[in-house]
Amino acid sequence: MNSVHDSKDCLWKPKVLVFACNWCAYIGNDLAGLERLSMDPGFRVIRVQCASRVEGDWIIRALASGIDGIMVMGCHLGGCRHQEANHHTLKRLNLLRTLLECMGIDPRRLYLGWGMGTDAKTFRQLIHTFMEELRPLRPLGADPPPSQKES
Amino acid sequence: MKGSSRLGLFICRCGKGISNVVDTSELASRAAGVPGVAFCEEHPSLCLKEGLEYLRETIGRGDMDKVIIAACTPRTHEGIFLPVISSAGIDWRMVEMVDIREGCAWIHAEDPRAATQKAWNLLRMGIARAQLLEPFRDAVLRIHPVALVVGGGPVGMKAAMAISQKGFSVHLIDRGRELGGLLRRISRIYPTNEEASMMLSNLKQGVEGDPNIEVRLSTRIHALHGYVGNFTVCLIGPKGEERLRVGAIILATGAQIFYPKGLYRYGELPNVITQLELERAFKEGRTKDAEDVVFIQCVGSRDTERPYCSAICCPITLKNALLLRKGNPSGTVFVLYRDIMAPGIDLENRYQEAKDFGVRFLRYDPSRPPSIKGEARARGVLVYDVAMGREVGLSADLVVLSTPLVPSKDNKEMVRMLRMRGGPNGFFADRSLMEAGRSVLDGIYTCGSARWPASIYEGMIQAEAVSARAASLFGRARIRTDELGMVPGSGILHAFVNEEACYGCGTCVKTCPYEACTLQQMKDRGISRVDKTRCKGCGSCVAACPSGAIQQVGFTDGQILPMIQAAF
Repeated sequence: MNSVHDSKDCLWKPKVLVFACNWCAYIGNDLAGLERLSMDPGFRVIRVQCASRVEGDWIIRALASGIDGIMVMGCHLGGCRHQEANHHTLKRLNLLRTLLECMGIDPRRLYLGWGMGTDAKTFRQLIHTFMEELRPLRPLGADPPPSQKES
Repeated sequence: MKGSSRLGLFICRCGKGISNVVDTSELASRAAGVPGVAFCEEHPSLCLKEGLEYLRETIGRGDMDKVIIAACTPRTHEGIFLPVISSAGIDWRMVEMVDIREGCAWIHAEDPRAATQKAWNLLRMGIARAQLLEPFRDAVLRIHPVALVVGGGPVGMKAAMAISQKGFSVHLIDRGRELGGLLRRISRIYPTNEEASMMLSNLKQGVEGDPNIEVRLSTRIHALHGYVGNFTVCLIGPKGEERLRVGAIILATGAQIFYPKGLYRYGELPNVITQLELERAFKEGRTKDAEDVVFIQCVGSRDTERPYCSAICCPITLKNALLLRKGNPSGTVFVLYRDIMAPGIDLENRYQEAKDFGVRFLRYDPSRPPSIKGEARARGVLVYDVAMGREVGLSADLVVLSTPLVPSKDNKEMVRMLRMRGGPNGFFADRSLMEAGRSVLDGIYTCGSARWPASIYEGMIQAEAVSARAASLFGRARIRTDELGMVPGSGILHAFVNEEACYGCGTCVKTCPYEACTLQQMKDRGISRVDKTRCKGCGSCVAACPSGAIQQVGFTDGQILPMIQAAF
């Protein structure tokens, strides 16, 4: 039975990939380090110059590589160093979320944050909260496809 | 390229800051076995003098063509390592920094096993990208140390003098027949109440007597080409067409006031006037005729069409209301306001002084605006007093409307000629919240009300600020395009086009915030070309490109996808 109370599930920790823009969340990452906050080691950060560089291909590749959740963190809307570049990303990735849903992938696996995580505690909280939200979703492929599910 | 990399990997223990948690010797021994890694060593402290020397010497030996530094965060230490590595002969774009300190050892101290695993993953990610790093050819720009100031008002004149003081030549142009801009039409300036004509003559003397400043009146810009350090400006003036070559352009073209036709019967009644018309009345000594004056604030501003506060109207009203009261104690002065904006000490004092001198302030509700009574002339104003909760009738022989500054008619044309994005409400935009006065294009600066409604003093401070920027640009004879970055010491990772893969859809052209991409007509189709003087390396064109033809240095899909696969 695919029950949440399965003992194996309790040990399962999601793997998270974070794309953090240089001017916002990447600073939070550094500050978390400076403040020696204790964080779950289940995430990896790729620094980008602007969240607008992040594209759908990367997210799909991450999911295909066994990564459970992806966070894209850019600057707040209206505060992008490159004017409205992050707006383009917001539109593009929201569209991707819809496509993920059509493919049968839970769209909650993609998190978009704008102007958040610039300070240590918020950064930690965002990562940890996302990991918590991923836990009930379990690894991709862990559940059988819908047609085989018991009614 | 892939197989031929000779990666040099330096792992820092950071005293014990990293090695306390992350097993750096395990990392070193595992990394040495990775294909492409030609050199791999730990070091106790790379950023100290001795460490930097070690880096320089080791890299200088020539055994490696790319460098990976696994240490602290690149955000703080890129600026320390990159120049040293560069001096040892390796281009900064062939360097990868992996953060195993702030992003690893310092946040996973309670689980050294997991921290070491993460550090290993991060190292693998760094190696994956580093193997694919490629050199990039920058353009070198020669900086012509001459400035053009567009606009000969007080702000433009101040900018020209500030640049001249730093020892550089300036061309100052104005479309009018005289220098001075709006300053010529003002009587007194707040907060000092000094006479505008005095300030004007001082400024003119400063400009006209300055051998570094060349003034051209009745002149406007006809066309503009080029880039930072090397702009070609085509002027049209009384002597016909002329071309100038300048290194920086300061836009001090000011603004115009909004004439509120149709509001409060302006244009219909002769004694309903704007503040500018009141200034003229002051200059011509005609204000003594007015007994009862009513000012109405926020006319045509803070509404749906012009949703901003124009900053200078309340201070101007306070100045003028006080002058009227002092000049004519027997009359009345009412100020009908939505909010009184009087920031700072001087303006707050002026507000109190106005109240002490009998200027009456009455708040109105924008949904129930005042109405002007009278037939051939305005006789009175009917207004719903918000505080009292009822309508009051005020006697008036002069109604003064405070209207906002709006962009000058030239702004749209300037924006088009410069090929840059316009700013909010048609004023010029700053390139970011933190960079006032710098437009999105390098070498183009804005100040005064052309940029955003500002008082004369505020505008002049901005003029000095942007002049300092222009002067510091001129201090360099040459600049490489990767140096035009946001942060000193942090280079630009440009976008570049694979011309064979590009089919000229133009998506990058539309996406780029700096208008850096253009389609060049080649053989059978348009092909995108990236202007290195404009590209700021954000990468949004790369993400938008449907064919993957345009890529970003250091962030190509080919580099990032292996990183993603190596993450866990």
